[in-house]
Amino acid sequence: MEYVNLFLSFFKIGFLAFGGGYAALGMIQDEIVRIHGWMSNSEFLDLLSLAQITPGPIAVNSATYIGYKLLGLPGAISATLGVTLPSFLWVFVIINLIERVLRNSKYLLDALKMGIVTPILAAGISLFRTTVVDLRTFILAVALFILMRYKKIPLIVFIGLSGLLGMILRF
Amino acid sequence: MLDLILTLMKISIIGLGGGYGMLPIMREELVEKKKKLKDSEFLSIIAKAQSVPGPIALNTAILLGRMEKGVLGSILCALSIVIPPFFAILGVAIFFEKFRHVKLVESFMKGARIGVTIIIINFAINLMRRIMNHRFAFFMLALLIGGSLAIIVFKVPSILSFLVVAFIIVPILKLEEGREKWNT
Repeated sequence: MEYVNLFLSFFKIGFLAFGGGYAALGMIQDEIVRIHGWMSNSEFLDLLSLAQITPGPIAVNSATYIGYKLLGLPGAISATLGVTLPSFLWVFVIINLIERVLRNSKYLLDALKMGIVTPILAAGISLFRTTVVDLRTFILAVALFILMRYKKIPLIVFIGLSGLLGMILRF
Repeated sequence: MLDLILTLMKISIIGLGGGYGMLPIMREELVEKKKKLKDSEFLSIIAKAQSVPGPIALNTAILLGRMEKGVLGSILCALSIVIPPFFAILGVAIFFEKFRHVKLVESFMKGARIGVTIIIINFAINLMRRIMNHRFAFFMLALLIGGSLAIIVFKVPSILSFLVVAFIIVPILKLEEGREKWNT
């Protein structure tokens, strides 16, 4: 039963991940941390760091990690299947249907890609409140934000750098 | 087909940093080196992969496989892009769960958590900036921010909030004349 729940949660996320894997992170956070309470915000962020520095699509990596952490190897398989299967449904079935049935499907797809900002922003705020707890963490967050906005650094390097700064500042 | 599978496996391993990191490598391998596709064909596949939900790299692999060998091809290509990272992250997970309580690892992860938080907030900001050239941008931004507050403050499930916001945006998009395209 737990495997089914895990599969269904990730199926739902994969099915609605308009705008790609990154866009799904908001929904994953909501589903895993808030709705099911399977993980804390900090554990969720740890797995994102690791998913980011490991090769592969981030939503798939996250699903595999969460599944493994919760239910071992069978859990990893259920979650990974759950997040990947909807892509087949969309590519083979749905995209053809809505192209034919709905004349304004273009508007709908565009609107869905804008609306996906909602869970991402909510997750960002919720994660910020977990990680930024005092002046020290606030200063690091602001510095990293400025670095991110004004320098084009690969994300993997960016994570490595923030981790190193955490070590230097003895968090 | 075998060639495509091997190429995708290779890409899935060297493509660090998620799907968007993989796309340039995919183009280089499939268009420039292997000459399997023309640049324009590759671009139209990417456009389609981005118009449906799901990880871009996975959608692209499914579409490439479908072009080559139908359903079977798409399953094989999806497996090629998912299985190598599956074992990589599994290895990392097993390793990390053992060492997570080492002090130095803990400090590193605490710093990295802030880094990831910033990446997510920055991603949201970039998506919102793309909306700025819409005629009703201000109203749309208010909707998006209102929707996220509903999630945080009133504990509305994020999927519900997201769908409601999207359905309100549809008629606004229809209203706008000469609207900008929402690509990439």
